[in-house]
Amino acid sequence: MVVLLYFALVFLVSVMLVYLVRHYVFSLTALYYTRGQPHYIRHGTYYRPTVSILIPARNEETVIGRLLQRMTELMYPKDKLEIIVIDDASIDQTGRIADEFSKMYDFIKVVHRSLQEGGKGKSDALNEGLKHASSEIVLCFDADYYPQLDIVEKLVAYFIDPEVGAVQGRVTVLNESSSLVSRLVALERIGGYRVDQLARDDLRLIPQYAGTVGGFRRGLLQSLGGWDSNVLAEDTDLTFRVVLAGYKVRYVNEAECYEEAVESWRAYWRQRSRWAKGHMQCFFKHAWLLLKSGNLRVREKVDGFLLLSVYFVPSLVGLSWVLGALIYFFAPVGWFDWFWGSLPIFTYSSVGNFALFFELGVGVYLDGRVRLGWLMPLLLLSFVVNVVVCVWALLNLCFSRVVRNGKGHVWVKTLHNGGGF
Amino acid sequence: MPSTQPLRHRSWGFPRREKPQFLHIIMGAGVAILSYYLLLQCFRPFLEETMTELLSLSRIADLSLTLTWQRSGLFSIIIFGLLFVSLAFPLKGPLWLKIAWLEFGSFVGLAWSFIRLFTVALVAYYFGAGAFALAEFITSPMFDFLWVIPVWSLGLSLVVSAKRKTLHKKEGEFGW
Repeated sequence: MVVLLYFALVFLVSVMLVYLVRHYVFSLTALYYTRGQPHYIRHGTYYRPTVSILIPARNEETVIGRLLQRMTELMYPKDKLEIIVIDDASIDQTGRIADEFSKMYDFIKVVHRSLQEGGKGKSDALNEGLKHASSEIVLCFDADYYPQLDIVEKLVAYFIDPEVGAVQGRVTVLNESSSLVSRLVALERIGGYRVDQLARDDLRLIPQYAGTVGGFRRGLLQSLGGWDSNVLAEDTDLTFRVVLAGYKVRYVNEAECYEEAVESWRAYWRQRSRWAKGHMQCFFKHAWLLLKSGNLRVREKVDGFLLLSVYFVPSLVGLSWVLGALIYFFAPVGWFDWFWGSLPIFTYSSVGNFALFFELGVGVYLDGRVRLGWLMPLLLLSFVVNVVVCVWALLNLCFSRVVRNGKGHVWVKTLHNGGGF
Repeated sequence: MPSTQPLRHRSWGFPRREKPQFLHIIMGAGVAILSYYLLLQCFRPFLEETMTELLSLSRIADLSLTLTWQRSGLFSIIIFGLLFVSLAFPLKGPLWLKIAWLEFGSFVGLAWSFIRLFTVALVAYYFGAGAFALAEFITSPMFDFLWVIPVWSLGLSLVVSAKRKTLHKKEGEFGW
């Protein structure tokens, strides 16, 4: 029995070590890698396709006006721009505010969805918007986001390469000082975009389309059938459908957009829970297809597989804790020294997950964020919360697959209050 | 609408890259090896003697302690050193600050080892071997990272801070 426990623990620690190496490689790439630079094309005037920007909005009266105002100020030529607001059965003033902008600006359109047809999640709303889009490129922005004035130029420049099917910009937290949670989210965002996504792009792996501040070729998106409303992480799902179709996803670090991060642990829990379940759904949907795909190189497959599995890792960490404790207390004495040797690895790769902290630290360093870096130790809090969230999401997903045949997942919207200004 | 309001914390546009400070890594590795050699020679006996003395002086327990290196806390101090030398020393920033923080980290590790062992010895004395294992498990493998991560990340923040100060100074000199 103890031997079995050991093998289980060795397996788990090995998985952690794989992620440990992955995080280190990403961090070092973000810091030092320069050979990937030539693929950064200059953002200029050479490629100006027509662009449709989809803005799904459900009860976003506090933020929609801010975003639409910003849309009117974008530097991209307005004759090539089309803004489509999808008022997804809002019961507040969202529709009215969008209509007012639509009356003032020709390039802003509003699609109203009734209570019967709307409210079924972001994917559903985006698919409705896609029906009304007529441009070559489709970009998406969430209603609580606030983009740079030249963000469209920066994002669409990469579509000059016919192999690029999707792009993703950088997300930065706007309401960072609102609460401890929003500060921690800001830290996670820095690590996730400035280091993780950038390194993936540099290493020609699979940068992830993150659901907002990004876009696709409309033709490709339509041929893929738009967003899958059965998947909670519709962004990850679409990322993998794009790469499996033989296209590339590119990350554009300099295309920054500012978001309103969650401010309470409850909202954090709900958001992460949705992400975890969605990612796990994507794993079951795409993992096998990814491994046998003929369009991808081995390193892309490895990276894609690790990306798809990433929300299982906290569950494995939880399992490692239990197994580690069992072995510690019940292992025969002769085994003990060996275990003691492996325990630090277990501690630093799983419990401490130091590489992840290093990734965030590198992001903080590269962005020169001194004071935010002081909060890094507190990420242990969100780490523990993520372990619980992911275990809960896994159990929930298994339960729904067994009992409800995979149905019954509800897209829980994150509430915004217009903070950050 | 606050559209013209400057956005805070705007990061740099095109991703800038660093050049690793190889000289700093070599110097840091040298200092770390020297420090850990000294620690290895003196650390365990020092901890054993100090704890025994302290326990008997305070009339808590009359124990004779024997520490194995695995339980001395040296492992986590060395891991901290490895992490700090390999990950913080290559970054731009003053060498003296990095070395000072490396030594400070070792000192914190030493202090933590002392507190941990003192607690564990007390638990073992009063509550027996079962409680000893529990206390050892909680304070050692579970909580070691509690000092490693904060000390490492605070060190990194200091490096960033020093680098920014240097940058601002240069900007001032050139009148940017």
